[in-house]
Amino acid sequence: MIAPKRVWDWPVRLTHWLLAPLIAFSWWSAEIQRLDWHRLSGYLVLTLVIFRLLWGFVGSETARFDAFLRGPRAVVAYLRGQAARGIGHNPLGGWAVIAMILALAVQVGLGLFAVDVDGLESGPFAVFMSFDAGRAAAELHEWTFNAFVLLIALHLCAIAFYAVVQKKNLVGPMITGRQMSEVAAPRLAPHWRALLCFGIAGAATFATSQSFWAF
Amino acid sequence: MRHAIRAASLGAAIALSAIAGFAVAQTSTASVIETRESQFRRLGAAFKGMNEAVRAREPNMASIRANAVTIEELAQQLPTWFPAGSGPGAGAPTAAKTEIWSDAAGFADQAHLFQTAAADLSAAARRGEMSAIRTEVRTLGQRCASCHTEFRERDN
Repeated sequence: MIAPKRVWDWPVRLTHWLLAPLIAFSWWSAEIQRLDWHRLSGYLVLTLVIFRLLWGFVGSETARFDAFLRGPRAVVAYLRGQAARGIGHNPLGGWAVIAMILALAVQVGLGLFAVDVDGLESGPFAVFMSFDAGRAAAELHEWTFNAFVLLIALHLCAIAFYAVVQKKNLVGPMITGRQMSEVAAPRLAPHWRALLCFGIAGAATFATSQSFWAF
Repeated sequence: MRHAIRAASLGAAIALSAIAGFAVAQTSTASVIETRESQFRRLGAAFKGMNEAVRAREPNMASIRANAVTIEELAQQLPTWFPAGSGPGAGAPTAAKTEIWSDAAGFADQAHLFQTAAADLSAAARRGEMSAIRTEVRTLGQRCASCHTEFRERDN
């Protein structure tokens, strides 16, 4: 029966809608050289990335990597027009999610080692690096951000493509979590598990921010 | 005919030496800028070391003192890193703004503020007073930032 089904759980939506403004804020704070804000924003992004990685293994059905990562044959079949089975990410979209998470991990990871041009501000792991190596990390961090922006542009283009060509609204379900579907509703992970994963991610980020094994 | 050849070779010689002179001027400007940038990298490295030594769980006083001395020495030298003609348009890329030379008094003021802050930090480091060191590190950082806002192109 076609009925509204919960396709995205609240942890996935929360993570998504926190990342969007945080990425914009990170860019802006770097532009105006408020690297203290930038670092704080980076810690929040790091928490969300760690959470999303954990959630990919223990989260709700549509959040799990093993549920949405499909082989190249499935991707090619989908591109040839074969309808995606089930509910959640289609075979191509699943890989887009992985690309986005990896890009974020690279972005935030390089930031941990980055040193600003005057040696005034630095990521928590810059203490292991020479000034020049930290500067190289910062330049790479800036360069990879441009690649990341291209990925975001692709993400927005895909949403527009589905809306215009396929008459499919992807934004609504990402806000409400609900989507009309005839497929059985996906299995949702319990709330306590999401809270536990957020707790672990927060603790890991805090440990990172203190670079506690450094001193 | 002989005159023409002599004139031509004289002309060629002048042109060649002009080109050579220009090239020498170019390389020396480039090397002035290169030296300046490498000195600023040393300053940045010393500041990074200072920040880490101050923020460490057990402040590393030996590192604080060593970096304070480096910063103070480099601060003294800083005004000499900007000889006239080493600004933008001198043939090599630089983030130094023309205001360094057009507002030489303003630049000298900033350099002096920086040198004072570096000397204060060095004195606090010699006394080994952590609270004073923290204050002076913050002041020094503000001196870097305010001078860079005024006299350095944004790195984009």
